Amino acid sequence: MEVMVIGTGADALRLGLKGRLDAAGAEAVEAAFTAQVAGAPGDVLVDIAGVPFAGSLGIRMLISAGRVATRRGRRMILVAPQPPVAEVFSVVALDDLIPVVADEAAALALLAA
Amino acid sequence: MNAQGALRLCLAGTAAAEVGRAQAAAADWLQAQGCAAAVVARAELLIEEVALNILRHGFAATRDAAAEVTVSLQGGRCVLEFADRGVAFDPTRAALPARGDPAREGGFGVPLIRALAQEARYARTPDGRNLLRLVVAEGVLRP
Repeated sequence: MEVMVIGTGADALRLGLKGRLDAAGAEAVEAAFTAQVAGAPGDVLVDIAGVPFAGSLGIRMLISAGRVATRRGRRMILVAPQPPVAEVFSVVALDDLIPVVADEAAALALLAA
Repeated sequence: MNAQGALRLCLAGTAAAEVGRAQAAAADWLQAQGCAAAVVARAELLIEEVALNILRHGFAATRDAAAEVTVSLQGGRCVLEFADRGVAFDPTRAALPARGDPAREGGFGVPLIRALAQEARYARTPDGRNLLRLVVAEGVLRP
């Protein structure tokens, strides 16, 4: 499990998560991921196309990072979940708490709205 | 009951890696039996939610934490059975957190279990064991 900085464009910081966001994956990556979100100069897009699995510890990590962004007056958007991950997000109604969109264009449209 | 063999896994301790090992073994076994990808993914998620909950919240001393997981196909359906000697906990009846409730950060396990299992049966045995039997849902989930 790893966190990557994909780009630091003027419109938003782009982060990528790669690997299984199971209990062990969430524990391994949480500190680094939250630090990236906390240190972002603006809104944050998190590309999760490389995440084939997300369990509840992983979801909890995404929510607390989203809250860190909100407290700093920024938005965090999850981009491009794989179908099994999107299914889990929908079961727990994650998008009540964090926007989840299909691609980067949709994320940028949401930020511009 | 049309049992077609079973995979039995014993988990000990509270390490996330222990649950990860069980998930991977279950996924390999189910794939080898020809299960659909959605069923394998749901089974993995159920194992994580239930086993982690048992190991981390079921025991007063972490050194005692232990759970047994059995994965089988019965009548073509994927069945997960969990047994442990921890405190009594019935996830089929536990209260669900309110939708959109900010306090529910930690409360995803129970709704996930209810949504992803087509059938869930819980029993507390007279000798102090929790037994949970889940049939993994196939096809499209109902909201």
